[in-house]
Amino acid sequence: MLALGRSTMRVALLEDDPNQSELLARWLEMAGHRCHAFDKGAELLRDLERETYDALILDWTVPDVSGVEVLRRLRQKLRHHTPVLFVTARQQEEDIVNALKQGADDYMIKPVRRHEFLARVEAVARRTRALTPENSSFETESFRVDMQTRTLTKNDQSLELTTKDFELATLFLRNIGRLMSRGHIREMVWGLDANVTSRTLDTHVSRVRNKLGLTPETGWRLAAVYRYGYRLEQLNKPRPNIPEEE
Amino acid sequence: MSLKTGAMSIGHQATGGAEICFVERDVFDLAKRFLERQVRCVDALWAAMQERDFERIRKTGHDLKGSGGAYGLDALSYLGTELENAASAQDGDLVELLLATLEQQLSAIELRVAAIGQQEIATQVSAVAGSTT
Repeated sequence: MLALGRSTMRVALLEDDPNQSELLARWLEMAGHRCHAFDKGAELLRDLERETYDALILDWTVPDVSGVEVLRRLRQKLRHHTPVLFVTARQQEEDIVNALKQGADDYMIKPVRRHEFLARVEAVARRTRALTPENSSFETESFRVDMQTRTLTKNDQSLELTTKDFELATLFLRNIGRLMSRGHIREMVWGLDANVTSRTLDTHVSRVRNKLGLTPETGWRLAAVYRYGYRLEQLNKPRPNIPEEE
Repeated sequence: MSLKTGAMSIGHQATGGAEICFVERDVFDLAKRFLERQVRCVDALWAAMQERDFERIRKTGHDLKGSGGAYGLDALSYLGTELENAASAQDGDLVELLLATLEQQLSAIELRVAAIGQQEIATQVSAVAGSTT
């Protein structure tokens, strides 16, 4: 049930209380987002070495590595710029200040309410990248994506694309300069339960690269990052919001 | 009848000894599971009290403070806060009193699927608020 005008996000949630975790995940899913829940900080950190998300939701008090320590390592060691929303019962001013100083984008004190929670998650994601609603057409340089007719044109020439290639191309064009993990790409294009091999994904990426002419000669590079994922780069522009894990 | 607009329990009313909570259909199963877990949790907390394991009680109170309110059950959230504080202060008498209250509160709650949406509840709340001023 995706609300019109919203963009689907891939979200990681760190929360050790199953009551809270299940509820937040359900709220996100009912709003059309995809949620990956973790109950330990160390597990999330391990996952972030190979996966990307549109937003992270962190609880403070969790077993092993705390939420604020996850955030600190994320920002300082991994130089990860994924937007972070803290959702915690800790309400002391010093805690809020500490989390924000470590790089949190927003902070909510439990108990949280459904619509405010969803609005804040979407707001932090919007602040760090152009979150174009999924049903909105958009243009970028020589490309024009029409979501109503599901057509992609380059320099006013319509390109012949399969459904999956169109979705893949759209995903890259919405996220120029951003490194996206294979899991992230798979989930956004094929869905949560699809069993898509790495080879299938690579084949589609290669086809999109050829059909869209994403080559250095045309000012683009669709770069593979070894064992991690892909990033569409515009060669004459600086790269915004790029995690440096590779 | 009193109405409130929680995130999930979108209204409640007290009828006799029962506290009827109206819950949105898409999260009703979670609310049910949440209450079942809390009932089991109280038993575990009594056992923790026997062992004077205040840290465990504090952590459970802390979790209840966060989750109770999110499920729209503010009374449970309040009891969670009090439990967390009493356990932090290692006040065994108060912890026992709060556990008894929590047990009573849990047995009184009855969940129902809300027949109307949040927007309608909000409209009704505004109307009620308007008529009482």
